[in-house]
Amino acid sequence: MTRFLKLFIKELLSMFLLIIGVTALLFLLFNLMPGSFPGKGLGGAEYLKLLRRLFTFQFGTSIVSGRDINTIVFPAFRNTLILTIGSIFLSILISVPIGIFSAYRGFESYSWPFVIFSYIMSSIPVFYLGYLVIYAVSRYTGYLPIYYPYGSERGNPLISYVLPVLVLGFGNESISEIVRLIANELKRVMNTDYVVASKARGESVLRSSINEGILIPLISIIFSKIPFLIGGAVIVEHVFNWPGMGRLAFQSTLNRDLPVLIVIAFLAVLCVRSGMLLKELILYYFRPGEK
Amino acid sequence: MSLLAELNDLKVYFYDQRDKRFIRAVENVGFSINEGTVLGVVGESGCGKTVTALSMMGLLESEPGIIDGQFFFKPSEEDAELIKQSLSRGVRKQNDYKKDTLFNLFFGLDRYVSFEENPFTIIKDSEKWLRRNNRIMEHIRGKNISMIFQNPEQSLNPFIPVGGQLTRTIKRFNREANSYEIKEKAIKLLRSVRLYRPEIVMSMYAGSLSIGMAQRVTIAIALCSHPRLLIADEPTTGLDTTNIYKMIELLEVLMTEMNLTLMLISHNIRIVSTIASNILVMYAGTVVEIGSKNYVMKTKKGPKHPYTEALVSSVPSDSDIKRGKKLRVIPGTVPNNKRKMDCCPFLERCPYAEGKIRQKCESACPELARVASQHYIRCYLFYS
Ligand SMILES: Nc1ncnc2c1ncn2[C@@H]1O[C@H](COP(=O)(O)OP(=O)(O)OP(=O)(O)O)[C@@H](O)[C@H]1O
Ligand code: SF4
Ligand SMILES: [Mg+2]
Repeated sequence: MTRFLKLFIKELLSMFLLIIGVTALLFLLFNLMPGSFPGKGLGGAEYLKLLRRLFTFQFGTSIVSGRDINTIVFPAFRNTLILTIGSIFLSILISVPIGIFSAYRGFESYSWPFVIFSYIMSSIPVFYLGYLVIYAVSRYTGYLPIYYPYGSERGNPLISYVLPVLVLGFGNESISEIVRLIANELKRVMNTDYVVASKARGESVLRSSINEGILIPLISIIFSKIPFLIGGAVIVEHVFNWPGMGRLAFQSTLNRDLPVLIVIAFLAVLCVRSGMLLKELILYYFRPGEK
Repeated sequence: MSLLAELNDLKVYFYDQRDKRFIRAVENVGFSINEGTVLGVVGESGCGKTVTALSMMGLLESEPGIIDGQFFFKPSEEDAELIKQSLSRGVRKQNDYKKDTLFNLFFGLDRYVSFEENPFTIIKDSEKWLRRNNRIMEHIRGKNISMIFQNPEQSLNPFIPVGGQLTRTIKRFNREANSYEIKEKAIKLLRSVRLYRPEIVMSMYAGSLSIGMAQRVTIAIALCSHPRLLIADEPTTGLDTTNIYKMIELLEVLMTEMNLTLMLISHNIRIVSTIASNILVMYAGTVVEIGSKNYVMKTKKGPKHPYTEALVSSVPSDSDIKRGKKLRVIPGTVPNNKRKMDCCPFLERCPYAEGKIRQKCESACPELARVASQHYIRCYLFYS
């Protein structure tokens, strides 16, 4: 338990330092930008005020639109969350069965088409895949909405989630990585003594190797992929005009809206680091030896 | 006493990727076990004891693996029909998979294996064979034959506490039992392998058990399913002398309690002889002597393979220790099994291979010859 507490405190501390670092850097860069615009030339006292606003989650108002940042950022945050979590689940849904299949059969037998498919999917750049899908969908079918219908009452926003989630789910590079990792790990674990021993009493091999062979590698890879997923989400949001954090960040940069940008950076750091913390927590639960 | 299992002419080969040649792991091994008896299997390290046991369980996954042999086994009555069905799948001639009530679990092997002389190659469709074998062994593993492995600590799942593994296994074999009954049974099993405070043991993970405890836990797990045959692969490794005899005693008690038949594998012929009724002595992948304990262990009179003689005198008996007798060490090492069998495998270490007989020993590998009823020896000294 003390080990766990130590870990928790360490993670919190690093999260805090990272937030300070990232926001300070942004603040500095903003002040170094050429040209003059509102919000430039603020001093250290303003920065401290900004930090206080961040840590109390009362983000203040946007320089450009004058609206409360909380009402801008949180819906966008929710949308990005839906996009990333949905696509993670999709990636897992596709890659884990392929990984298991190829661990059982090896690359030589029927599993190779799936493995190759996963590699192709991972090597297509996600924006390219996005445009390809938009082209195909809008040209040959009329069913799925390509863009998020915000502002209008037409269309169901739930359906408009489908395409972006599909594209990010297939197109982020993690599919082939998960396939490879699970195929290797599961194959190794399936030959360990304890799995063979459980097979000797008639237990299913998959069931006894699921902890070490699938869950642990899957959890460690998924959480370490979160930063990349957020990066991919920015692109997908741009392609599909999806009102998420990525698009918001892009617009705020063009508008030179520092308060919004800093809030976005803050939330991104928060997400990535809490993902790491969650990963440690879950792995801690799974690894009995370290309890 | 009726026959429970009979292994004939088991041949197991592996392929050495680096040297690009086949390794002979087991050659012409055979024995039979009667219900309620103990078969002891002894031999030095690397002589193929574990490989034989794994072959019987259908757990040998390296290629090419089993290439020849028959393994007759008498399953429990409720499983017999299922086994019959899976054995006769895709076979037209349907009578030679059976001998009385015993089923040949390796039936159909010859369809997956072929040989080529010159250069010596074995062609085996291992994947298909394993799939067939797994379908058959599904009805055998656990319920009919259980095995405890050489390294008890590694054969426990490190991610699930002992109790979880026990209840999981018990549940699979007693579908109707409720969770309370299952827990009761788990505790009872842990008590029966002489683990004290079973409630605490149940919550422990494999990593925190001592070797002796881990060994007892693996035995308890193997017994969840009430197997007919228990293969115990060196259940005494890593234990100190007093615990070795406690472990053997435990196995003996469990045999009568649970109506078990035991195949006991060990390095130490004296340990085995304390409970075994028959002893099989293996050397370099072959059987060199098999017979009832009384014949095999008799040091003074009667025929005896030179290797068995050396094995017996390399482990002191109690009376030897009292008399201060010197231990005899077997000179040399087990020959590597990449060599072809064109002479007696024990030739290099055999003190009797002299003069006229030596020529014979060098010319070919001797056959297993019958020297008494139920006593066979592979040595030219006992050819009549
Ligand atoms: N998977 C494998 N691939 C190649 N060779 C193997 C394999 N498994 C076993 N062998 C070889 O087969 C021979 C018999 O090994 P086995 O494990 O049966 O010996 P053993 O009698 O159980 O010895 P020990 O007392 O050390 O357990 C050894 O020479 C070993 O090197
Ligand atoms: S056959 Fe010859 S070499 Fe082999 S054990 Fe007998 S006497 Fe020794
Ligand atoms: Mg062994």
